[in-house]
Amino acid sequence: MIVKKRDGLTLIEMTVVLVILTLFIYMVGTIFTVTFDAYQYNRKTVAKMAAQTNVDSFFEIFEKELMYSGSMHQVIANLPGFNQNPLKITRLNDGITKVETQYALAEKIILTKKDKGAYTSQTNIGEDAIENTYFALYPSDFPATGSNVDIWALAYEELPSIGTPLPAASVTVVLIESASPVLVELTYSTSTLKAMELTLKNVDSIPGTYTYLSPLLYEPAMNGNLPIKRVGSEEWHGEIICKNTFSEKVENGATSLIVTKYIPTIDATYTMTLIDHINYFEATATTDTYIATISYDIPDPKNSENKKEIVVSRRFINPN
Amino acid sequence: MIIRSKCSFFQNKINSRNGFTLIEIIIVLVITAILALLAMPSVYNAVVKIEKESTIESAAVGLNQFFIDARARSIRDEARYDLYKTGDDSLSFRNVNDASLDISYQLPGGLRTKLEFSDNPATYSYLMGFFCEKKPSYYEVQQDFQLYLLTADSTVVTLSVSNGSSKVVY
Repeated sequence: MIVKKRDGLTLIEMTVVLVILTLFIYMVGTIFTVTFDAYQYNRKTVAKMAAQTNVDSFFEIFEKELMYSGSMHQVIANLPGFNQNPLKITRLNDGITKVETQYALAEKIILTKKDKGAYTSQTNIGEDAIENTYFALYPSDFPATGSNVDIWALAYEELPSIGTPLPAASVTVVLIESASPVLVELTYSTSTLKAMELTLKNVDSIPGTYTYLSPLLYEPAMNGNLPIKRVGSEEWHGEIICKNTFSEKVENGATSLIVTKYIPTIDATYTMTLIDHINYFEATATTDTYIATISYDIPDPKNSENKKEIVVSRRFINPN
Repeated sequence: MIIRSKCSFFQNKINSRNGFTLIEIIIVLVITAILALLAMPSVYNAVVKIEKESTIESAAVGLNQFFIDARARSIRDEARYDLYKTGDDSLSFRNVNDASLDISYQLPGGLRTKLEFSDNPATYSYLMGFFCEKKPSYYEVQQDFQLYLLTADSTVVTLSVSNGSSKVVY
């Protein structure tokens, strides 16, 4: 018997090899797919977290705005650029919601020269200080003086009655150029009363005679620091008096949520983007609450056309 | 006679058995190996390119969130956040009032990709939500600025950080 030497692999052997190879390729492919899916899921999660963080930040800002709105309203209602409504929600014809807030925050002190005539035995007040000397209505230290911080104040003729804004002509914002403390002795008491001798900047250009001054608070981030300046505008030292408008802005096909901040002391408007790439922003008011809603998309890394819409609503107590 | 015919049957069966020879298999393997070797640089470059782009994209996303976080904190904490370069691959926004509220960001790196900041953006700050550049006597509101990243192969990647939208594009 002559048996020819075996010189090749059989079909069965080749099939086994191919099956093993197929299994190996499938295994490698599965590992790649799992890794890639994990990466895509990670991207999706990051995008979702980022969007959620942005929305949460906005709601924090919005809550603070609602809390502040209406502060010093009766004094500032008739300032140029302001109106009678400290918190106003309007829905425009194109469906865009605008939320307007306006407020001013002042020191817990009102300086007045109204009653100085009642103090018959005042000392340490020179003749030229008569029109420049203000008494504190509430005992308190005057805010930082002698620093490089400009001190803005609301100046008005009368204390407003509750619910009745001051007439437009009787209120303005003034810049205090200098302030120096003066001790005043009263005849009927041995205690002393704090007074401030204040010089208002550009006093000749300020119309009317103003009896009361309310020094404005400063944004803590800027108090004592350098001012902010936008190209072509005056410097804003952070005095808190503003009219803010929250609305959508459509640019290059993308919608953002922005806030426009009008600051009357420098007659300038600053715009800041709060959230990028939203679908819409809505706000509604009921008797007791305000409801703000933001819709945004979470993109699917696997398919840019496949987006998941997230709608977040928050309910705020009506502060007024 | 019977035995011979049986042997002849086996001989025919064995001789007709088909299969690849060892030489054939080796030739195929060698050709496959040569093709793989030829393709290897292209595949490697493609992998490196994907990893580089992926790393830069991750950096862009991370920086985007880093800046948005600093913007929100400057409003929420009512504090100024100054931007510092704290390392070749890390930035920090420092709360000028409370160091415990600082936030930091470190650039991602792949097995073959390493990113570094090539400049020192130390004069920028977030103030009241505004992205500002510090001037001698004031802070100037900026609409955007550029961050330059240096890759391991010395390629400079420009990330445009827009204050208006706090987004990073490259």
